[in-house]
Amino acid sequence: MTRNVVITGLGAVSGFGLSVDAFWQGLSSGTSAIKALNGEAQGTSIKVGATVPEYDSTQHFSSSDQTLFDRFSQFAVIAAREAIADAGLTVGDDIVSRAAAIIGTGCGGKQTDEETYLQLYKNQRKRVHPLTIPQGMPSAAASAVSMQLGIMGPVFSITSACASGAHAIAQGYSMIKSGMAEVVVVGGTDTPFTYGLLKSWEALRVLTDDTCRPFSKDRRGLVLAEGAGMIVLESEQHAKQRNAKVYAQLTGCGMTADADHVTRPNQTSIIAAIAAALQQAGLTTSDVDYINAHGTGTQLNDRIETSAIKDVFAEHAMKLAVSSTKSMHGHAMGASSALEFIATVLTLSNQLIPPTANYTEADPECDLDYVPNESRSKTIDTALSNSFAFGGLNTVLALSRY
Amino acid sequence: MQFKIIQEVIAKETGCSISDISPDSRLEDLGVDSLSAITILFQLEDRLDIDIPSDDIDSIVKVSDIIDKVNELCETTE
Repeated sequence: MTRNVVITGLGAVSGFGLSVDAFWQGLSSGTSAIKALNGEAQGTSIKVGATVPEYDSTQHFSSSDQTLFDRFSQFAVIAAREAIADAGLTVGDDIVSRAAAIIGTGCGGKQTDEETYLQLYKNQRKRVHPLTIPQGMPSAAASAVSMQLGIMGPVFSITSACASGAHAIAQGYSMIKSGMAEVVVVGGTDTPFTYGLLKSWEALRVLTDDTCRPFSKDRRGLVLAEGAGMIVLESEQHAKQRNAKVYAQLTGCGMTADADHVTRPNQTSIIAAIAAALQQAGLTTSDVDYINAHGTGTQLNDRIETSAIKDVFAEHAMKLAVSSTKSMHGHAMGASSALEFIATVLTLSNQLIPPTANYTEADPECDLDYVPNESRSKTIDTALSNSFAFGGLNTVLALSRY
Repeated sequence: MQFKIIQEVIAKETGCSISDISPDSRLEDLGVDSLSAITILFQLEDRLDIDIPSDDIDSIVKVSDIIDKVNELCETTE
């Protein structure tokens, strides 16, 4: 018997605030959460970013949990709480305790790590906080979600740079398809605004000092962001039995690796990932109405992604809509692909395509319909969400209207 | 003086009132578990610039055990 996978809950922490409503309100109105940084990037040349506004951990965690949970774990928990509640589930329910949780992260607990190194190497302190290991380990966010929500099924982290959240979603999909789980909390979380990480990104010379302008001729690079996106995936049968609200159906996951250059995307591998997602979903190219692009806003990525889409979709490429929501929520590393998946789910459920914001000038090498600057109402039955990570790790997720 | 610091550190970690923390108080009764115990010892090490050997941790049951250990180490330091 085919086990269909549906989406029943969403949670988001982003530059728009601590809710999916704030996230979608921002995206659907074409508003960008990217803003000038204040103290966050002191000592670097980085000018802009999408940080979570006015975050006060005391409003969300006990004193001891604030100490135990790094910022990336806290965001994961807040988004997971929202997703579980949105799915109509309650912490303590058997359904939740039997659930799985797969949490992607590209960076892990860097705030903890860097604070530790600062104290040791610069301040010459002799000792570090005894919770440094459990705070900073890359799986800390998965453990925090498990502990805070009482999830006792399979729980672990996945890391694949910018595709971490998408790979976590693909893993959750496979677990439901195989019958290993009925309910899985999946997503990604990252908080890269630490001095060492910012200097490392600065050295890579891919950040813009302006704003993120994917596919626009004058694009100058990506903009860093922080946040978390969490999704409740569920077998269709299970969702129906409990009369759960269903946002959309996850129908396929295409995954490939470039085995090539560490930062330059490989068009052939991207094409293979899109084709694999379509094949698993049982779709033809003409079925696809919308693609939420990886769309980082670098010259190279956007050109190669465009070329790959044209190669796969041929004439249909000019008919489908493509947008990069990174133009609004920024590039939140491992959380980005989860936030973009949520944006794609909401595109299907609202029948409204969020735009590519900050678009100013057509590029002859990027000549698709990028839904510039204003959201668009359109019938959308099928959509893809693209994620192509550094290191050549690609994931394409296929979704259908429910 | 050191007792006051010990009280402050335990109160901060456990959420107990300082007035509830006496030398005879059992750490377990104050809500101190294994993880908060090492956090309390870390805070004391940091504030008093002492090193509490790991072998001594198992013998700490009451607040007075911490006071004795801290006094001993502070005297050694002086």
